[in-house]
Amino acid sequence: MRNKVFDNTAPRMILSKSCPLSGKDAPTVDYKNINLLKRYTTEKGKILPSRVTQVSTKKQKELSTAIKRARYLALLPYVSN
Amino acid sequence: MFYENVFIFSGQLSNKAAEDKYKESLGLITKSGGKILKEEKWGLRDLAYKIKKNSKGYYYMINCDCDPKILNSFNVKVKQDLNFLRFLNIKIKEVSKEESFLTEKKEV
Repeated sequence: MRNKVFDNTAPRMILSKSCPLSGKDAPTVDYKNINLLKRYTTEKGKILPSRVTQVSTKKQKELSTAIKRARYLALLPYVSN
Repeated sequence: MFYENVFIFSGQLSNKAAEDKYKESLGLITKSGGKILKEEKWGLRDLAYKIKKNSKGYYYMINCDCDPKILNSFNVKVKQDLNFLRFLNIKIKEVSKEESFLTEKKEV
């Protein structure tokens, strides 16, 4: 997948997906909404980069604080095996 | 100032003992002039990792309106208690009327 992104010879596909967390019907980003937060972490528990998830910069920042709060409260793991 | 606070008590306590602890800590806030605007019980939950050798904990959340100094002194007291696993307080702009995603009824 990584190669595809950085391969200049490949025909460029323009993916202008909009942010899934912005807009009217978007879910609220909150440390209590664990099911939402889980979707934006890897299996190991790392936060997914916004270039993968198409989340806007503003919302990505909210996401990361929410995830960190949830981790502190042991709602989400810091590392899971 | 509105604050949102989450307490986690040790899962080794009995249900009643945890409830008592919770009420005791509420008392500490109200005594010094804080107002409690909203309470939520999330019940006994599994912790994502062990805290002080506990794998379960009782979760309680409150929204309150109080002086930041009260919470500071509260924090100091709470840190000495072994059955008090975690304490999170964050500033919020307003108290939401909806129940959060973690209340006991909502989660099956």
